[in-house]
Amino acid sequence: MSFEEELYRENIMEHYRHPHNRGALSDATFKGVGKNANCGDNLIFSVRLDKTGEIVEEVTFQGDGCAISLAGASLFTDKLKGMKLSEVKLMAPGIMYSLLGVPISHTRTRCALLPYEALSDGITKYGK
Amino acid sequence: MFDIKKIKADFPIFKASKEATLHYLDSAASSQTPECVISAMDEYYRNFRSNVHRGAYALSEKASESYEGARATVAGFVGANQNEIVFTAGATASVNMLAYSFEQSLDLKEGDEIVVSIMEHHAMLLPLQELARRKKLNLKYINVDENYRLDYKSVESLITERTKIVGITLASNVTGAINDVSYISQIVRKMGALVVVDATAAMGHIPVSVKELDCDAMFFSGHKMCGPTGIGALYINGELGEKLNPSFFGGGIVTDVDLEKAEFVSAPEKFEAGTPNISGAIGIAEAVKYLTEVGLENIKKHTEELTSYTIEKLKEIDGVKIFAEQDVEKNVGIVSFTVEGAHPHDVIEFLGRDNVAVRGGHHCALPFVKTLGVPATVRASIYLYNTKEDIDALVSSVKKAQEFFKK
Ligand SMILES: Cc1ncc(COP(=O)(O)O)c(C=O)c1O
Repeated sequence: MSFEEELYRENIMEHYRHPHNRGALSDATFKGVGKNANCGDNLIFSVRLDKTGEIVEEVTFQGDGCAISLAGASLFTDKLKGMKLSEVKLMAPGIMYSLLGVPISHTRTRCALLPYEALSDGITKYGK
Repeated sequence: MFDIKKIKADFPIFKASKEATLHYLDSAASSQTPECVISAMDEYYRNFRSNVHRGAYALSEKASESYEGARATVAGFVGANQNEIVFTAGATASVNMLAYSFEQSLDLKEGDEIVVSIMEHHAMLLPLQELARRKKLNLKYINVDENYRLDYKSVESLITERTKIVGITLASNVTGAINDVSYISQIVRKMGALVVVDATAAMGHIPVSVKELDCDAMFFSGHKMCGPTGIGALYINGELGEKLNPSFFGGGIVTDVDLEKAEFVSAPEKFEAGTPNISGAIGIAEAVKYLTEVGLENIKKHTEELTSYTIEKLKEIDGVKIFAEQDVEKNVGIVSFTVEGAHPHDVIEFLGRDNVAVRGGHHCALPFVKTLGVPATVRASIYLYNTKEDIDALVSSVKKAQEFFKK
């Protein structure tokens, strides 16, 4: 398999070029930031919970990054919508690898985990 | 004569890479090691391994002689006296140690100033930034102009009587620019501050003389100049060396110890507590001999030609933006760039698959890269073993990456 097919699968490139859920969220319940120490890229995740405070109603992300982190953010926000907050809290970082579904090398781990870090930061700050 | 075939053959790594040719354009992160350096260290481990200074048997004599001989070689390379060279674990270790020594031994008062250039690598910047924070000093920056060169005109007014320390890199590890450090020291001298020079990116590329730079301290790492990892040298001017207290304590640095305190030996030993990196010192000295034999002028001329070629070829690609010192005579062989529409991490991943080894990121110089107005760059760095083929491979791979991400 060629390298393009391996890491930059059509699916990843599609999410990179046309990311879902990108933008600001004015009525967010909480926000979190992920910083990639290797390149200075930042992602901000904004999450709005429903009236019960138990379900993720809306989630968006802002910021710039490489194909892996942006595609990851797009896929991850899709996944989060409609989830119970209690379930979200149980998710391990490994979820990012499953969502991306492509082999991630050691140097790209930071890129792959960036969306997860942004969300975790928000959850920690929210504290509930 | 500079024979590239012969030079390349001095480096085992280029024989080791099997099917594909290794296009190593990451020497600014860490250079490759010539066979002679590996053998010199191997020789120590096989034939005279023992600790230095405190054994009266033949092996230890030989180890001590080699270690002190290494110090003399490195001192000679930068025009310093032997007692002015301290072996450290590298550039980062050097500045941290120095900053703590400054804190203990200099009379630093709240509101005093440290001046650094915006180009500094975090190795210089962070220890001084932390020192400034601890002692409530003002940290001021020498900025760059539109060509990413230091704004020399601002220096005179930045340095005041309150300036105590000036930290300046001899060459930028992002743009390759060689700074006119002696011009700055001449201004600093009038105000009586100390000049600390980061020679890490410049060493092994251009001749360096502590006398010409007129600095009080200077540091560099072995691994960026054909030497091993884990060793570096810190030059501390003789007078300053007497004045500074060590900031790292342990065996081998005292004349007397009682229950409350210790008396220290003189420099450089007082700055080298514990068993030193003996093989590392032997390795860095061998690297110095190797570089001297090839000739720094020859190396500079060679990297200059290739830097020129790199800039020229990259400029031909639409959407590539170059961040490098374009006057190649004043560049240590570093060309940073960005590719429109593709993130540096994605570009270097592409290049990596083509066996083109470059680095992407902020190169541990975040304030500088932010000044350039980009989050990160791709950096190609050139050294004595590189060839036009390496650059051609880089350029063709960049084009491929651009094509892919443009789709
Ligand atoms: C200009 C400069 N200074 C300091 C350093 C730090 O060197 P080391 O990591 O060997 O301590 C580097 C290495 O990246 C550098 O390029």
